[in-house]
Amino acid sequence: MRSTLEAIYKDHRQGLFTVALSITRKPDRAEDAVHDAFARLCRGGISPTGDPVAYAYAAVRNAAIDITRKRQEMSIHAPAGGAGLSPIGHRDARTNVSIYNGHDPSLTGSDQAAMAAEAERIVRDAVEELPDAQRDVLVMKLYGGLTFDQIAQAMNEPLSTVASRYRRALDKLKDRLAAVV
Amino acid sequence: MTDLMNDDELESMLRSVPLHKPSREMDDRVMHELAEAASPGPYRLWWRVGSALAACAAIVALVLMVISSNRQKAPGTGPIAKGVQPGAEIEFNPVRIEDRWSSLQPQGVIQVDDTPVRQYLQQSYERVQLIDEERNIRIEYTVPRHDLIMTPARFE
Repeated sequence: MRSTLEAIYKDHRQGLFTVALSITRKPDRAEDAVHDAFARLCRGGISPTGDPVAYAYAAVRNAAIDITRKRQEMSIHAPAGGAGLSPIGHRDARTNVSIYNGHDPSLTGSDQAAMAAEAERIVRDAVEELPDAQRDVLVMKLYGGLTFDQIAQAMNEPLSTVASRYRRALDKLKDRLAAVV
Repeated sequence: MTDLMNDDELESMLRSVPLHKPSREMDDRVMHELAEAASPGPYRLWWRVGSALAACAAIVALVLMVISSNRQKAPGTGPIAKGVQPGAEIEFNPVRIEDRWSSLQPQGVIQVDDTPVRQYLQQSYERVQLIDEERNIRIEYTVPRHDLIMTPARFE
């Protein structure tokens, strides 16, 4: 079991982290989610039925949702101005982190580099504006390399739903990015 | 719109944007967790030993229950014959076998109304077997008898 989990982690560490970051919007919480998920998988093992990779993605996704929910509850129950936690349910642009690395145009020298950075920013914003369910499917497909069947297992959704979400996500992105291309 | 950009172009464009990378610390934490799972610590070891003992106890209990159940189903307590409904009259044509044996033991001479009486103890057993081979019915009973026989004693 350990070798299976290790292989999954090595092959999918970036994809798993990106899925978690897409949900938590905070790199440290995303890393916590990946760690928590693998700790649970080590204790409970991989489900004997189904795809182990999809199972690992489901575990990370659930851990990220749990962490996000707990943080939301803490921010709701915290006294005003006391805990200093920002409510992550609100998409606070100042503290939320994109799944993309992001380039600061001011750090680049040439106009061409600045244009490339601007294009990346537009892509990033377009992906960030997708509905959560569509963005999750897109992240798993593009950055996790999962098949629609694996994504359907990981999200516990019908295959047709997952495929149509991906289709809609691509269509929205095409609309947004047509100007850039 | 689709004419401007097809799916493959869009996907490769999205893939070309650099992603936020996880830290080496996350790798260390997950690898540590995997290593822990491979070599169980004392707590996990004791937990496994405890689980194994509990499983053994459950198996022993199960075996004892099966043995007990089989004893209850011993001949004479189980169903009489196949296809016989409870309360239904059945034909019973057994072969009757009787055995008797007895012994006589002198118990000495006692005085009854100024008359000497010789006393004997007769022990007898009567065993009756009713066997119906066709219906696989077998009834057996044993009747023990203890009789005291007294005869006048004559001294010549």
